Amino acid sequence: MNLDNLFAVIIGMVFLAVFAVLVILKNSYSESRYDERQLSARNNAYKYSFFVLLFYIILCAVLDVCEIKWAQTYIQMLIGLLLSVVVLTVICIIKDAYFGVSGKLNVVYVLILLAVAVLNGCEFIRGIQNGEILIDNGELSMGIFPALLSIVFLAISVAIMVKYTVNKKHTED
Amino acid sequence: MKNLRLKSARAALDMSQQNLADRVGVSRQTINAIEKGDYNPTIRLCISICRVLGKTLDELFWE
Repeated sequence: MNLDNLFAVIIGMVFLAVFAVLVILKNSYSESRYDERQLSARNNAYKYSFFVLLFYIILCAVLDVCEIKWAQTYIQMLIGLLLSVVVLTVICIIKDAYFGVSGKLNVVYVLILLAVAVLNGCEFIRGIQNGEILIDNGELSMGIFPALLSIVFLAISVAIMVKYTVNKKHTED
Repeated sequence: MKNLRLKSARAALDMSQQNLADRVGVSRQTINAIEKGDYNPTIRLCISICRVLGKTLDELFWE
C-alpha cells in the first residue's frame, strides 16, 4: 500500500468515525427508536445481510480453492464487508426501518453520504490520472478501493432519496 | 387483507395516519402497513390503537 492509498484510507476512516459519532449523538439526544414493524424489518435485513456475506465468503473460498485469483485478499474482505453493509442498509431503507419512528429524512446524513461518495469518486479519478494500478497481475488491487466506497455511499444515498420521494407521493392514504 | 375498519374508525375521528401513529408511538408507515394488510400488529399495538380510537379489539381486528 503506497502513501496515497494510505492517505485515502485514513480520510475514509475519519469520515466514518465522524459519521458514527453523529449517529450516536443523534440517537442519544432524539427519538430515533424503532417500532415493532421496523424492528422486525431490521431483523430480516440483518438476516439477508448475513446470508449475502456467507454466500460471498463461500464463493471467495471456492474461487481460491480453484486458484482463480480475482482480487487481493484485503480487497476481497472489503468487498464482502461493503456488500453486507449495502444489503442491510438498503433493505432497511426500503422497508422504512432506517430513520426510526419519526421517519424523517435527515438531510445532513444524505449530504455526508453524498460528500463521501463524491470525494471517493474524485480520489479514484485522481488515482487513475496518476497511473494508479487497478488490476495487478489479474487481481483487483487497492486502487479500486475509493471506487468501491464511492459506489456504496452513492447507492445508499440514492436509496434514501428514492424512498423519500416514493413516501412523499404516498404520504397519506 | 385490508383493514378497512381501522381506516374508517380513524377517519371518523378525523385523524390522519400520522396523528394516529404519533399517539400510539409508531411510524406512519406502520399504520399504513396495518391498514393495507401488509403487517400484522402485535396484540400490544392492537390494544394501543383501540384505546386511541375508542374501539374494542373485536371491532377493529377480529374478522
